[in-house]
Amino acid sequence: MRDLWECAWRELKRRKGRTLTNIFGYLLAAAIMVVVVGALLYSKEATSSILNRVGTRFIAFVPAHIPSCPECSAKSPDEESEGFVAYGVATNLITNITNFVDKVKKLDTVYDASGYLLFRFKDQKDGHLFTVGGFDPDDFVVSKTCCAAKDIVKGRFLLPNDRGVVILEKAYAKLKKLKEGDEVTIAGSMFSVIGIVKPPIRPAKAEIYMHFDEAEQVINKRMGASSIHNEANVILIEVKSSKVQDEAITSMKNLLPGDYLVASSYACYRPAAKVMGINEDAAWLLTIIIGICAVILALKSQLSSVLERRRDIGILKAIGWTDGNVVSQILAESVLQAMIGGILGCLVAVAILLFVPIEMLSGIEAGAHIIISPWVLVLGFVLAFLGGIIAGSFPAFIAARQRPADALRSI
Amino acid sequence: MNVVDEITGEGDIFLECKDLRKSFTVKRKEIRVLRGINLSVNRGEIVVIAGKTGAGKSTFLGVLGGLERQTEGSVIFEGRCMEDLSHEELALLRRQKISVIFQNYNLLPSWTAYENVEAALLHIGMSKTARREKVKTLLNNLGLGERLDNLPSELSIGQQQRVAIARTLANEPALILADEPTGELDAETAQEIIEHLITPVREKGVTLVIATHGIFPLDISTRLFYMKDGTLVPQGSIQQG
Repeated sequence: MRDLWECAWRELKRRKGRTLTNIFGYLLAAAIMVVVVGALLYSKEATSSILNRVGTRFIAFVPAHIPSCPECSAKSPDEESEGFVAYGVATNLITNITNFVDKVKKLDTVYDASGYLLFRFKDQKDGHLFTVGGFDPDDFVVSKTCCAAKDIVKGRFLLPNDRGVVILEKAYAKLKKLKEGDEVTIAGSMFSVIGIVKPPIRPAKAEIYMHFDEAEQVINKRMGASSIHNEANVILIEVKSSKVQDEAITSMKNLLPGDYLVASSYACYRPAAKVMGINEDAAWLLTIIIGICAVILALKSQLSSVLERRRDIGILKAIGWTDGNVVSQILAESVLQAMIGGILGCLVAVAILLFVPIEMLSGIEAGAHIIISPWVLVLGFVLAFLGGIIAGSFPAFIAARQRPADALRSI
Repeated sequence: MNVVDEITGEGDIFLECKDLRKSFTVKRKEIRVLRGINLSVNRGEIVVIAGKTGAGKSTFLGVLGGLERQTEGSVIFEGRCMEDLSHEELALLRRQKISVIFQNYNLLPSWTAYENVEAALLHIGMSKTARREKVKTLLNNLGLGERLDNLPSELSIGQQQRVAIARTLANEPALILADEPTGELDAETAQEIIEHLITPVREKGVTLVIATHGIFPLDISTRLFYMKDGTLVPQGSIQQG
């Protein structure tokens, strides 16, 4: 085996021009592939991070017009103006919400879930309608679907032990001329305003936010006899990736048979994810085309080399080299060039990824960084190696088919 | 008139041809080069085949060396019919038993003298050290110890032929087929080459079949043939070696 590689190396050194051309071809292909895949992974991470701001969360609820839902409370809202709502639609309550949320959390596609009370009140003084959202501020999903501490523009966010306090949505506070430290009355109960929030587009926005249990209390106060306990009208859900949102929605709907649940999310994540997919496919296609071109170039070059060396191959066969020896020799030469080209290509690619500001050139500022994965480098090398085998196989076959007498006679 | 072509030497038959025929088709026309050769060669013989250029000597040696297949008849080497052997087996036979010295030496032009000789010892499992030792010894014995790293183009014709002989002897063959080994050489160099060729015959009992167009000291042969119209005409035994 050592003879083979030594002999191949010697032959490559003899034909420096052709060897360098082939190595350069493999280098270029491997480098482009690694850089494209590296840039692709970066782009994927960057676009995912952008898309995840809108594409990994949704809310679910049972509309009030579905009366036959077996796991829904019959307590429907005030027909006139007050009651449980989501997206402006009157909703039913989902009973035993703790148990249901636990089931949702166990889904493979779901990252976090939480029960949420969203109730529309009517201000008894001025007749204004406002919504109260009741949540557990400890739950991660709340920060993604309702409001988060970072959305606070004045005051502070709700703490787990806070009681008798609320935070207001900025537009509502402005409308009602309320500020931090003021008091608001909801269903006859007084609450201190401890903060003003200005959350971005969120699916479960309300005008007033408070603790889940306190929201339960004020709602019960308003509803009188039809009090609620361990029920919620909305489920907040954060999925693991924007790409599995549809899958998560389907899985979650299956938890409540009968197609009662309605899931609502931003419609923009689908086209965005699709565009992301198109870019990804195009980059892969480009990489494959470059790889094929490199292999064809190397094949042509290797074939020319075999045809030029027809006489040499004839002589080697005449002195006892078998077809197998000749095939191994040609393949070893091809693979050696591919391996050298592959390694150099990977090194060049690493240099490009390290020193060329791809983040800046891409124009995507998503806090993502170029990651040089060892697997991508291994892939670049393995593909160059396979390219070498493919490029060497046909010329080796041609060389093996030559009969020594024909090769010698043709000179 | 049919000439009696079969000449059976005495003793241990080593190589035998029976009604050997070879023809080529060139532009739809059949050219019959060998027209029924019968020959038996004993171990350790020096058989010289003389004849004009184009008489079919090279083709005959090519068939004996398994470089090409005969059209009809058979070649039996050490009791084995060569037409039954695959290309792979013929290659192995050339590696182990039969060596060919070509008319134009057929050295690999981009390989050094050392590498040309070493080529015959590659892929046979010999260590690099043993290989180097053997190649150097062979080339030293042929007076090329100082020219190991020279390309064929940097050597004289005589030196090139000596490299070809070193390559031939590298595998210690039982049969050497030499096609015009002294054809382009001056008398003095030709004599040297002949000495190098007959040394293994004398020392190791190697069999030598030489094709020549006449400029060859025919007195070294044990048997002499003349090739005419694709057949062998015996010219008698000149010297028993």
